[in-house]
Amino acid sequence: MSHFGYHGHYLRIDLETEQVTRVSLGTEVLRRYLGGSGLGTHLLLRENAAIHDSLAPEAALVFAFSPLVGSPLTTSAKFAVVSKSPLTDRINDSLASSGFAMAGKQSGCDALVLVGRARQNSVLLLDDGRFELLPVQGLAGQGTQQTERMLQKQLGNDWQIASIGPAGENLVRYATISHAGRHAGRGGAGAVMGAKNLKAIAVRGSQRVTWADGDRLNAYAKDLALRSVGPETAKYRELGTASNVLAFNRLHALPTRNFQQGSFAAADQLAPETLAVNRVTDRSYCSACTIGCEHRYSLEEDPATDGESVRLEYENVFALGPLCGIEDAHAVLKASQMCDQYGLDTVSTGGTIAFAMECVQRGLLDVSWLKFGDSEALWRAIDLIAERREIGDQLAEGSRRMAGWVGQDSLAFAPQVKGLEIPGYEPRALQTMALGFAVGTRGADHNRSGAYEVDFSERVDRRNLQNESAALAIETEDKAALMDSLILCKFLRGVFQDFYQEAAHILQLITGWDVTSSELKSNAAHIVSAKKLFNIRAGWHPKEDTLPARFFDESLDDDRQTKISRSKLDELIESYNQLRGWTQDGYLSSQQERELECD
Amino acid sequence: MFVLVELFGIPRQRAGQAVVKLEVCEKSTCLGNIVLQLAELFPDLAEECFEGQQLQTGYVASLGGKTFVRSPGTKVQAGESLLIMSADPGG
Repeated sequence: MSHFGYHGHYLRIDLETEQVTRVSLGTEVLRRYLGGSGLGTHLLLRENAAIHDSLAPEAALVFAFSPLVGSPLTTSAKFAVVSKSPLTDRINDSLASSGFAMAGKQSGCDALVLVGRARQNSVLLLDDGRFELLPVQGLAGQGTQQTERMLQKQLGNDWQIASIGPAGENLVRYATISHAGRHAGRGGAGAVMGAKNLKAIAVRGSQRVTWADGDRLNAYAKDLALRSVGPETAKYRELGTASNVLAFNRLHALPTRNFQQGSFAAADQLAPETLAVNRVTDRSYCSACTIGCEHRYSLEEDPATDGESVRLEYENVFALGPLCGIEDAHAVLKASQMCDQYGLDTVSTGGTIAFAMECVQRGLLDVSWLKFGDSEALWRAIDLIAERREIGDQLAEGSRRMAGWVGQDSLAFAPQVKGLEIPGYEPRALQTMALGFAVGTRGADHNRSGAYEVDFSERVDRRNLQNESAALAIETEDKAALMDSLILCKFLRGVFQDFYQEAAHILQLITGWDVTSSELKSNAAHIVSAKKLFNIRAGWHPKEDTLPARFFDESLDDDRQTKISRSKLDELIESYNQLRGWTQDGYLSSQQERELECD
Repeated sequence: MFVLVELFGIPRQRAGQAVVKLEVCEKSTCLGNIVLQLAELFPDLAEECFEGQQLQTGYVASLGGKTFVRSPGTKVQAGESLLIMSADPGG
């Protein structure tokens, strides 16, 4: 069957037997799940991946492209990596950008499903649909960017590479898969890839799809490109995400010293406004993107030094800076660079180290050098995590498992939900986001829930949960699910007057389907339910939808009015579940399960 | 009497300063009046972030760092601080 926007099939590759199967994707499935996160979730359910250990050979690792990849639409060069997370044992869908998405789709498939374990440490080549496993030669132990450079030198610049660093090879539970300096960062997909004995995947191809209405698509794309550089994206273009630092600090929403405080005295030193004064700065773009949100800063302050530059995002700054009590910009930049090279998620790295620092502070952990505010300690901890040496072996397990090992009620302040470390949004200061964290299928996640947008509006009181919060959190979750399945960058979201209507229009132009905005709203909710079904099959229990005890029992040192009411949160979680058509406890209805199983 | 306006991110870039002390004649004023005063002082800020008395869609104000507000009629007490920042805290 031919499709506009799609190839109409995925490749299922068994890495042990080296068997490749081309599996058709019908219109009904594609129209329901679209691509990216949605399609990846559907394929995992097909593989029954929920019942397997995330690092076992049977585990499935999905790379899902989308109907928009290869189109002239800005920010469309993205791919999703979907698997069971070794950190949470729940579903994990992470996104990354740039050339790998386009080359992967041009290799001739809408997704890759990898199962089994290669017999030796390997590089997977996919050359216009032809598959080969090459032994890793000289790549073992190399950093992510070094791996990419070496492989492109060996294979040619027309190949696009996704790789893991030493962290993924050592099965660190929050290891990333990296491509061109961007990362499928959260949840440990890098460890899943490492467990399959895959160091890298190299793709290239010439198989392009066609569009239902190319002329109107081009015209729409030009208009969207113009809008994408308007005031709605000025923050991302001119300052980058790190511009959150000073605003959040002022609102006591900047998690500090393992969420003990919401503001950091040295925040000024880590803000892009200050960094740009003393450092050489640069800006870069993903392929097919007009926004250019990537801001890089020189590692050294001396502009005369022809040195390295490091990409800095808000999540890196908060997690490796205030969360660990680190004031020095150079220390944060270097730590960020280390994480990129090792292939480590910065949020989970910072969160787990910060947790350990508090354990040391409280006398629960005998690692006397691991102190808040100590830059050398931060770097040493990152080295040990990547290598799984000494205390690094425990740190590599993430804060929840580490709390289990430390014991002594340390779980109360392990900064995670479902095992995924909390990103840079202090839950007590942004309480709709707190709800979003608690119910999120991936765990504490600011990408699958955009509930912070609600907190930053006059619709709610950000420091107190309200009845409206549940419905508003659902709105942001569904929108995120659709954006992650189309796939479009969330930094575009302010550009759309009516996102669902425009998304329907985009799909009409790409696929020729008579898609409506209400169909897409239904699909978005269906995709979230599909992720929930995966989690239920993986053993999810209602008690997982909560926050660490610290957020109920302690107000912020610097804002005593803030505490989260446990009973109010529980009430809103029930409301959230019921608004989704689930049972009060959060299980799917029988009808929803039947619909998902028929897909 | 005055209101202390704190600017973050793009508003700060456009105004060229982080804090603006605005004189007010009465015990209270309103957000719309503050926006108009700022627009007169900082035309670049106005062009990017304001539309008449209103904040553009991508921007939001906060009273004392506690509640977020957008309506031009919102009362702001003399002596209070008013924060202006991006309404998109994506990170």
